Amino acid sequence: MPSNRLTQVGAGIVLALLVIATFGPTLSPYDPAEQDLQHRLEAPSAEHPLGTDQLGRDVLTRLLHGARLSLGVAAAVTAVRLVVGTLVGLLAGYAGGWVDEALMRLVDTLLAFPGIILALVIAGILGPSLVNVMLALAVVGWASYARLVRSSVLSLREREFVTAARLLGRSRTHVVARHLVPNAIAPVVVLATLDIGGVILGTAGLSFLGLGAQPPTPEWGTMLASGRNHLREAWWLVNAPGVLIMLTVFGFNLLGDSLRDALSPTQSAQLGEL
Amino acid sequence: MSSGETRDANRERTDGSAADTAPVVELRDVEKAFATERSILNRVLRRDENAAARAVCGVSLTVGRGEAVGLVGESGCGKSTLAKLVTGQLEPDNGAVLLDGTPVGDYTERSGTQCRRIGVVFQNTRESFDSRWTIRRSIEESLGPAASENDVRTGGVESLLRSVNLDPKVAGRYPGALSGGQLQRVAIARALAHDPDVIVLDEPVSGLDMATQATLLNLLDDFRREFGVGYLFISHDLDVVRYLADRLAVMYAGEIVERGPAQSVFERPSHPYTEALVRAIPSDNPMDAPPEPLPGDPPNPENRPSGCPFHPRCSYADTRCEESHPAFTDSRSGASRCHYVEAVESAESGTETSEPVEARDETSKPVEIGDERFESTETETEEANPVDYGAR
Repeated sequence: MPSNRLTQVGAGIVLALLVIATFGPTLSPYDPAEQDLQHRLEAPSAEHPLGTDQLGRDVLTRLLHGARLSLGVAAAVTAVRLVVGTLVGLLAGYAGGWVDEALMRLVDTLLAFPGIILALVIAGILGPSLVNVMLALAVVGWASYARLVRSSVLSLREREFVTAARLLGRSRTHVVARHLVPNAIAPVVVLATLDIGGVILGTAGLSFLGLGAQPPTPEWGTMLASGRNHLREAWWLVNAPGVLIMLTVFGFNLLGDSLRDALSPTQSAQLGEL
Repeated sequence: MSSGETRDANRERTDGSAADTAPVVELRDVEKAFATERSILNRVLRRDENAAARAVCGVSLTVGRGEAVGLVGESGCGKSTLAKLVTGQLEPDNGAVLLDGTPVGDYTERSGTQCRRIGVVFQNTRESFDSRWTIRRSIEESLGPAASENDVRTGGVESLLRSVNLDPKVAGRYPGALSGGQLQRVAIARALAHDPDVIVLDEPVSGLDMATQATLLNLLDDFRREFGVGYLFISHDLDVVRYLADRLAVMYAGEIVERGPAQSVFERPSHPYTEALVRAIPSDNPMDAPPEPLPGDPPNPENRPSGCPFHPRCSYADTRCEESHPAFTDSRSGASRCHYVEAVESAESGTETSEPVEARDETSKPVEIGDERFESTETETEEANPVDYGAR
């Protein structure tokens, strides 16, 4: 498939998800937490397009509500990662010296652990709740942003337009805010787009393990976990959230890839190393 | 010229009445060396412990208002390092950089006002513009806080662009949309924007076609007369420098080997290196012999020749040149750092006469001086004849 076609698919999926997250919950006639024990584990029908779960709740309604939650969590976590990582990267790259050395060793340490395992440990220590999962995911994820921004800053600060600004007597703050950040931010945005999919997976994974959103919150990972018990009799309970998670991650990754390709080849090479 | 007067008046307020005579920028015996990587073997053997690339060695230079100082030399002779010492991108290891008579450090230690006294036109113009900024924004960044009245800058970015013969509409464009010549003009406009007294121009016209070069040089000349701005004009192209410069400094291996009024240095070089540079200029006449390249390679800055750094490539050189480093000697055109100024001068005037036989007689002196050395090999003896200097 040509790459612009893939871009359209990716953008389409992400756009659809945003629409679902915004308007979805109002479209459904059901309440996501309303139990209807007489109609539990019903197969997909006209009344319940994706069937009902073990407590008779409408699966589609819960997915629609979950979209808002999952995307919101992913956006918040990614935003924290981006901001923290960018600040650390700017500081390390521009200050240099021991500041750079110390920050980069911290980054190396964080990158040495498999992210999801570290997040599992942190969320486990903090106790099961969606907020703690968000915290854990934010803590483990900012390091690659810091790396990326630092390497951009290191090459940018040697560029002559930065020298030109400094020779005019402009302050460091001016140079960082006006020249470095705008020039370093493009690859960061790409990384963030690619990262959202990972965060959604991470949230769903930790929730699946019982560390994240607690029932009856309609979170995709939590739905997956509770559906697992009824895998034999009600396939739709795991398939519906599973397919949705997959589609979401797929959509964000496609979009991220296209964004990366749209940038210069050097920047995509830089990102490829991460 | 009203703007020029205003500026002069402003200057008096800060500098006193001697503003026009006192140099704005002065380099006093500045030296700059760069540490070099030693190989592991050399470290183990403790060899080359003092290895450092000596880019600039004991250079003194002044640039005043309204004065164009040309700096010429081969690639790698330390021209750009010298420029960076002036702008404060580098700090000298020894010696001092003075701004209005006050020693200054690198740009981080200079005040905003001090920084704005010196304008810079970078060697790689395109690189010196943020590709995400419009031309307007780039120039505005450069505009000083207090633009004086009657200034070309009262009209802001547009009038600056107009002063370098560009359509003010260019202000809304990005650097990527401009040609090299246009961008170079923008660079000059930007350097003028903060009302500097001296502009450092590092190879400002290299890589441009002849017509564009000529336009830019004319512009620079106009600005000098109009605003009284001084230039430190760095180029490898003698022709370009000759057009603009009042004074010329010829640099070789990190030191200035000859200095003097541009026209006379160019016409009557008194240092063998300058002489060779002048000879290397291609002639306008295609029937003339092609220009003669200087034999040998520029010296390695990590391992400079003893004595006069030019002696390995010099046709006048003898043992004295190998052993002792000449100081500046007054010459007809200025001052020259050569033991045999007279010999070079007479050789020059010799070649300028049309009869080579006569010239040979006149210039027999350096051959005599060089006897000891040139006896060693026959070819060198031949090369030692100044008339044949570039005939290889």
